Amino acid sequence: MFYGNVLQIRFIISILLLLTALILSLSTADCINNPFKVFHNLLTSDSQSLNLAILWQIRMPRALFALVTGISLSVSGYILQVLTNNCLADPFIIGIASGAGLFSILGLFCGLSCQLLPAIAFLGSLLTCVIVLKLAHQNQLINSTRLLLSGFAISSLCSAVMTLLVLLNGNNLKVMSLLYWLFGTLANKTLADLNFPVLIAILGVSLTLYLAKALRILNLGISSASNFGLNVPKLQLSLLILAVLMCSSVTAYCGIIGFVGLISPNIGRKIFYQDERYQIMGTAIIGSIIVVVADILTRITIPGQDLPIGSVLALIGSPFFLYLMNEYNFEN
Amino acid sequence: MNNESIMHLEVIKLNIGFKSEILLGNLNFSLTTGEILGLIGVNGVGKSTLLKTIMRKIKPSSGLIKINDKDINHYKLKDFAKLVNFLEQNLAVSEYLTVKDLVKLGRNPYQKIFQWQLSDFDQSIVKQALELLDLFKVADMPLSKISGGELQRAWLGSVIAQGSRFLLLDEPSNNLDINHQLNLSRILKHIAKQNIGLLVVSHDLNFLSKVTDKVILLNCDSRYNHIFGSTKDVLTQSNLEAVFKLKFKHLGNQDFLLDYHNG
Repeated sequence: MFYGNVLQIRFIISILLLLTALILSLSTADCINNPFKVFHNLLTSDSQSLNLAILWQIRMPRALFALVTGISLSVSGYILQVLTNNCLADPFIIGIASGAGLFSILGLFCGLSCQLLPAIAFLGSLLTCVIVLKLAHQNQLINSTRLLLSGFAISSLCSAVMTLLVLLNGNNLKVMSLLYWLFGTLANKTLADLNFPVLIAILGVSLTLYLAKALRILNLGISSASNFGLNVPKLQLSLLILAVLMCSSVTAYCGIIGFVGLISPNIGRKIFYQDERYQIMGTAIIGSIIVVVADILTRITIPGQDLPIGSVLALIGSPFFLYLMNEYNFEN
Repeated sequence: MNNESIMHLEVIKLNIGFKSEILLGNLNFSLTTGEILGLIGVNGVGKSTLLKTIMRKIKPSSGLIKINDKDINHYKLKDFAKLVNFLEQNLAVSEYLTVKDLVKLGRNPYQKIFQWQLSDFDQSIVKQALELLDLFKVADMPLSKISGGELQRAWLGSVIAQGSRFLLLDEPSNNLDINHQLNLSRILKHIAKQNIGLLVVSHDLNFLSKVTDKVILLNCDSRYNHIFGSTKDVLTQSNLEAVFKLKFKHLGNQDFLLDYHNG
């Protein structure tokens, strides 16, 4: 096929871009160092052990977390955009973020240790999504309007309770660190933290690729999809579960990192048009490039201070969102 | 396609309604493979609802729909897709899907969910469908870039490629110019000859009178009295005037012309 080659070349280029971004991320402390020097020093310097420790225990987990976060958030955004038939959907519209936030605050107040927070946040987001899903169900199908509306309502409710709790306990140090988590952060992670998100990301992306043709059919609308012999209710449910798992597994560790899930599927579809398998893989790679680069920016913008990645992404993401709004035909 | 066996789609004492209100009552008709059945009625009488009920998208309040003496609800999803297919009135558009890819999707019920490569047999069917509907010129264009008539034909191509034994077509002559409408009559007859049963909704009485073997005339005044029979018997001046409340003039050759002066 004639467009097959074009897509392959674009795919290879985006992988190369991602590798470059990752190498830069590994070489970045307060500012971007010359990668060749960094790796050269690693191999030759006397204080080898210290340099290796910095690379393996600080920069490597950070870069890998950025990679996994980008992949999971963007693929789950891709799925939700198909399910809601709306290119402005984002994985957080179904209440994942506020559910995770509310539960971790409640967990802190109940005196749970910080190590348990990811688990609590994960459970919280799952619980919120189950409620939203129940509300969105109609005639055994997930109604996209109901999904968007009930997701919005439940998220607002959770955020309202969360804000109240934070305001009433503003001087609590733990709550302050939680607020930092809410804005999204990739700092202070260990390689061991990666196990769960990586497992879910691999599982999620491979299952999404497995269902790529079904996604192509689902793009033509629920009604047509069943004419093609697809089991739409089962498909919708499994896709939604995949999206929720991917998004909440990284949110539990890294907090709310918005806009990646919205931007990257839109770029991915434009670049890798006409083949959903490439669209999915491309979306994942573009998402991870965006997060890795944004993470570098959080470190170098103000030397010595880590900005929350959520706000850096929102700074870049909001103008893009407005651009999309102008381009997108709202008549459909 | 080996479509040698004859199949029957039977609708028996079907009642369709929302809540307590009856939309279509006591509907009886049958369609055999190889036949073309027309469905006529005023707007809102429930033509699309009837098609959706046969497609199992809407549950009837009572009554039975059977294919080969088996209740349609007892067929598995993929088997049902191979038996009955539906060309909807609102056709989806996509910037990312080409006409050829849409027609290829018609072979989905015969494939595994992760299978993208078509078998040689499936590929030949896709080619036949593209040829039958004169779609080679636009085969590599995305659905969003083609005209309304081409979109109609692209979807019809996909429906045909699926090779179901019964096709329900909701206003297939919409959006088609006179040439393509004539072509459509030829195509529908060609499909029926391959031993496929067609149920066609249309507001174009001339088109239906030329194409169909049988007709159901849905009556919106009395929702229990629908007229079903051969085209010649049903499309009479008196029947049409009763249903549409307009004067009809017979032009010979089974054609009708609407007279716009009421009474």
